[in-house]
Amino acid sequence: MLFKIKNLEYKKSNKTILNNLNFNIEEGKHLLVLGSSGSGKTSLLNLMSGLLKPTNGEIFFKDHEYSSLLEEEIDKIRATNFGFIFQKLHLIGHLNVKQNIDLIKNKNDSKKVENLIHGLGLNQKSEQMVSELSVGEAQRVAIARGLANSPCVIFADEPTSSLDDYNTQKVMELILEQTKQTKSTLIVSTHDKRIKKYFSKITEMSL
Amino acid sequence: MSDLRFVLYSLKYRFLNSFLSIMLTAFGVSIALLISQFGNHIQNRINLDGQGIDIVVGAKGSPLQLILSSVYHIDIPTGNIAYSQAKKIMNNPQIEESIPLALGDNWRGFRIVGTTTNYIRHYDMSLSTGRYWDQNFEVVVGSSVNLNIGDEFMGVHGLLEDGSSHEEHKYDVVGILKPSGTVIDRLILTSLNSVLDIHGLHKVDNSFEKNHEHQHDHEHHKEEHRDVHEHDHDEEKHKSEDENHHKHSKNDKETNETNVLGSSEITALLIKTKSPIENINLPRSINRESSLQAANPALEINRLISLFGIGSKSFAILSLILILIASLNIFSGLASNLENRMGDLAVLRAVGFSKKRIFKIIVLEGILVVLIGILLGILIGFLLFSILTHNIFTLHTTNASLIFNLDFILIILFVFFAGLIAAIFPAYRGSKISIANQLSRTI
Repeated sequence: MLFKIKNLEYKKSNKTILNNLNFNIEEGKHLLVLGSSGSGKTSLLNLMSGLLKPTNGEIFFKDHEYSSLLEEEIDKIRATNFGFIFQKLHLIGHLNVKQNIDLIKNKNDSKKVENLIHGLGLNQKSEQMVSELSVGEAQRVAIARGLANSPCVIFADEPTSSLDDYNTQKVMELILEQTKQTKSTLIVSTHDKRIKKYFSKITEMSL
Repeated sequence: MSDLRFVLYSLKYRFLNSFLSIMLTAFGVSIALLISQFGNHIQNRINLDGQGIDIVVGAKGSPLQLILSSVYHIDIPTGNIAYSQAKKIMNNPQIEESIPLALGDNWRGFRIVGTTTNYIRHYDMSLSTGRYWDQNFEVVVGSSVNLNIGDEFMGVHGLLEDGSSHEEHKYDVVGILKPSGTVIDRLILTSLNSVLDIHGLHKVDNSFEKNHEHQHDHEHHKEEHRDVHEHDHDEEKHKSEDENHHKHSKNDKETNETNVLGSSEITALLIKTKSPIENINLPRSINRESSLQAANPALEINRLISLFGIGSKSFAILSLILILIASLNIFSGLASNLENRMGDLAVLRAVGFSKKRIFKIIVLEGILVVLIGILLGILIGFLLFSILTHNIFTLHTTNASLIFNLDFILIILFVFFAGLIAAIFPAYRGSKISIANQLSRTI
């Protein structure tokens, strides 16, 4: 079992965001966390990736329960197992395309960056500063960065919410193609119902 | 990507801010170094130039002026004293060595000093080329004086370049001294009688000089393995000086029949006593019993240093302020940049960068700025020191170089730690950010 969520509860400023959540995710399977704004889907992603600590309950990743781990150990799990694709991309402004991707890659995987740049059609842009890219190009860089450390889990937060149908399809196909190649698990949080069709397992969240 | 490369890209991206921090650090370091180096340089000069001179006797006036003009050659003399009076002091049994000096002329700002070869011997100097003076109007020049063997020149009256020339006599360069880092490097030395003669004063009996000269020449000739018959040489010298004396007397008569030679005068007498107690007793008795003034260089220089101290302290405070401004600028640069980079840092934390690593990255950025600033500051300090010591006449000596002493290390350490402390707070804050909050702020 890749993830095991048991009786998960999360409160913020005395407001319950998540209450008694239970589910499992097997390796290689994808999960769509669907819900409206403020329903707690981003909090769930943050809890599952160890960026937040739950108020109650347990989160197991590969049989490691987060609360039993030191902060550095959770950092290490994120560095070696997780990839992130953020809604606003969060590319680092003072680095170029290649450097943004290179920043995340594992040290022993030097060809990975070149392959990703090539695979995502960014060959001509690799030395360009990210501030000079179009939205589509920047999105591809963000996807490449999310995959650069060959993660077994990819967390994507609202990857398509600001895109039109055509680009939504393109981005989803691109991410799923990459996950197929790396046999990784994709966990997406979104309010965008258009992408439901790409997932067999969907957790719907409500306020 | 290594953390160092990440930091270098960051510094490059905000070039102006980094450049300003680096330059402020560099100026702080260079000024602090200059103050420290000039302090050392002046202290060395004071020690070297004043070595073995216990008392200076001269005309009444400011004792500090007497010391500065006679020992360090950076002020005008207090006046002249009668040679007969000086001679009495020279014969005092408590005196180990006495060196008469006659000042009054210069060549292009380099002072012409009438003295004995004891003066050269006192500073343990040796010739780089040529020989010592045998006759009047022959000169030996210090290493910084732009004259060569065989050059002839006319002295200019006074100690400033724009005085009237002594056109009746030309000096002839016969020797050049090796660089020593002392005041001698920028002096033109000649016999006492040359200076007296040119000013129409009676020449003095320089037999005391001859004894020293004889000894000095002998040592020198032995060193150089030159086959010189010294007795013949002395005889020739006497003859030549007599002839010279005759010639000048004849000239004097020819040019102005009413001219009467004044009595012999010198400017100062440098004295080394036989015991330290005489450094106190002798000046006291000279000041009380004669119309001369005796000053103790050690006391006067201490006074001068205490005056200097006010100026150098002001500069030290200025450099401290500059270093603090540089540190605050590093702090402000990192802190304000941190606000803009919270999102970046949150991403780095999200993808697995530990708190320690984020702390290290921000501190590394501060350290790089301060280290580059320090290196640049040392370079600027070195260049300024070199330019100033070569272009400001009174500072100019040979052997002036940067000294890597404790002060130097302390300045570097102080600047380094000031920069480090300035980087620690932003680094601490950067490492403690709430990742989820930062990401959700912009998500």
